[in-house]
Amino acid sequence: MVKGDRSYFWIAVILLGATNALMRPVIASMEDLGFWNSAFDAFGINPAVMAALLLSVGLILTQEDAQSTSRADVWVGLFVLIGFLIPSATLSWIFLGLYAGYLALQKGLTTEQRAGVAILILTSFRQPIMGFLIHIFNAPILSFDAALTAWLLSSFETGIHAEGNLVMSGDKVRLVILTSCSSLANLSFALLFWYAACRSLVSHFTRTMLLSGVGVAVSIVFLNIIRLAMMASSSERYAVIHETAGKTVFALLMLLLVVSFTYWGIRNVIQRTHGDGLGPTARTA
Amino acid sequence: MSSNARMAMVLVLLLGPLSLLMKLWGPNQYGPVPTQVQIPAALTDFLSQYNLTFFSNLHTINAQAYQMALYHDASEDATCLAMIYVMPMPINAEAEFILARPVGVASVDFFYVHRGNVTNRYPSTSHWYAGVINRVRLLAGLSPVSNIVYGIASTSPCVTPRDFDWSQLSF
Repeated sequence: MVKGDRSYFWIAVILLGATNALMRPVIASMEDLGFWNSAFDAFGINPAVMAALLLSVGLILTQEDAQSTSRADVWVGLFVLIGFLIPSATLSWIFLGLYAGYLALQKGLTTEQRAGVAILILTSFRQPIMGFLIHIFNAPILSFDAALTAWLLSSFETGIHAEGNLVMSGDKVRLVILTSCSSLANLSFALLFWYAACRSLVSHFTRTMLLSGVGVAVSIVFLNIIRLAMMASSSERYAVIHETAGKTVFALLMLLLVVSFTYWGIRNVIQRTHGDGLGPTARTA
Repeated sequence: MSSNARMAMVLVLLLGPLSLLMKLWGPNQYGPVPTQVQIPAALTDFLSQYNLTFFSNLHTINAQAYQMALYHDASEDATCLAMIYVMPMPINAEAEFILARPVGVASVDFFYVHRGNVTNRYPSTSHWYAGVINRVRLLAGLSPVSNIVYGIASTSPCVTPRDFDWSQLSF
């Protein structure tokens, strides 16, 4: 390490934390699916998480003023690295989030570094917070999906209604919505990607950008509801959409929607910034 | 190179690989998935006090995700067809409403038993809390306590399993 080694130490701790947090789920995915199927499934890591981590690391590495590692960096690093020793993915995320919180308190960060730290905080705390919310509020979350699915399906068929997370046709159950199919699970990843992409390019959130975030949220929920309604419509459609090609098509459609709305929001802000004569790198802290 | 930078490098080189090894060797903190959960013998014994004997395992309406065990009153002097469905729920409340219609037949009553306590709704908070405690126990090298919620449904009005003394069950 040479003078200016500070952000390299930060990155080393962040990469170790992310590896520790992702390692157990990756191993579980390989044990569950086998190596090649797991590899095809990105080893169970959502691309939004990977993209957010890479953006965060890239931004934190962009330093203008060379700074040396401080004594406080060493002590906090020691605390966090000891925390990473605990064999728990959730605790690794929490310790990584705490470390990101420490970085956020540092003076002399560039605007890019601040953006990277903000993305890291959101990425780190997303998993434990979502895990908690989905556990505690599982029933209302799934009931919300079932109610919207029944509402959509009832436009085409009679006698459709929701009972908890069951989509019913009269007295018969058409579909049981389980956690992995919930809109909230997909939404948290979509909004993470949206935030990471926006924050990495522009530091101030304009109304258009927030509108693109709302667009991401609404489109993800709506697309998921269409998918669930199609699954509830017949056994044949369920087989196609829940597995194989249909699953991939809907995943690609979701990705396309998220990227499109995010791109629209960012492009609008950058165009406006150009129009103001500030240039694309003009940022506010 | 400053002394702080040297210390930082030593910390990363020492604790980094060690933390990754701990993840490889540490205890598995993922609980059982629904298809892996078996009805404990103690529960079958408990139900036998009320003349309910194991009849068969059933897959629920969502195919392989959850299983139910059906208990019935097979005694000769039984006055009506008592049917009690027991569904182990190890994850969260996602299977909560399946109990309302175990096999397409509407339940007369359904409720949840978690560590001897009876609730009308899935006990999300106590289940989550017990899960956290189990993680700490695992990290401390202690064996985890059972953290399965049992969904109980009755499709026969002549048997009221809610009145059983579920507090006898500690799992």
